[in-house]
Amino acid sequence: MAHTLAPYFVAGGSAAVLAAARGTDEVGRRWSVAGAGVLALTVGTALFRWGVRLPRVVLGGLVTVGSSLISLVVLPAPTRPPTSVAHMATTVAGTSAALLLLGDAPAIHAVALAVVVVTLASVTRTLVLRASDAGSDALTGLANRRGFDEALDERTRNGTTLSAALLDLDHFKQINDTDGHEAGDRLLRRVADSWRQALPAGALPARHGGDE
Amino acid sequence: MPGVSGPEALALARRLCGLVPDVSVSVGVTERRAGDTAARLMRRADLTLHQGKVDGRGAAALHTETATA
Repeated sequence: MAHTLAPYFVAGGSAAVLAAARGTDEVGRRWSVAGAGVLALTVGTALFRWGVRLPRVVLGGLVTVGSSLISLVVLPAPTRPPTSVAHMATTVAGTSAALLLLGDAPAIHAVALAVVVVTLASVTRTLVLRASDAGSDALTGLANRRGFDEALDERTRNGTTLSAALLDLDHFKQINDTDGHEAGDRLLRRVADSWRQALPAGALPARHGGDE
Repeated sequence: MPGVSGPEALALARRLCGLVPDVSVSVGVTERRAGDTAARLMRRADLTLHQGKVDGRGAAALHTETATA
């Protein structure tokens, strides 16, 4: 089993290192991907060398770790689902092919590994997406106060010209009370949509409060 | 709005209000000053907005030195 796991780690690790070398994403993400890749390569090499002496439970744990590492590499691109799905498909196909070609693992093990990888990838992806949504308002899709404040903090650090405009819908509470919350929500969405389109590039529209 | 001065931002905000003519909107605008934190900038925008509301809803105001902030 150790010699089955080792190529799995080495293949995943190599893919991650290559992806990090070619990626144009944020530097932080590339380093985490490269780190995961190097870690996988190290574990793979160690498995080749000393793996046979390890008890089965340790090897089982390593399967989980390896799958998590692959998910880590697949998922730092939450805004481009086609790309991340393609990455995941390549990874699953590659590792399954390596396991089957090596011959000492039954096909069912390869299938099980593929299922583990896909499940972990999907779960992690959902969590990443949810975390990145924390700064936006669900109703209007604009940044919420938290997302806005964080972005504004960054932008006020350099000394360039910058202006803030706070727009407040008058009598919004009345609209909510007389026409119902759905009408209020519709109004907010309509206003947010038309303002978002009219703003210059670089501007940061946000729902700063209920009707602000 | 980076790269936008106070008066320009006010003009822009007025244009935004014009996009939704059926909705009455009050506006407070302020330009960043040296030493401003994000919180201070937004507090000044808020004060300007509420001062404008006191003077009459549906108004757009740019923060001026005389306003308290």
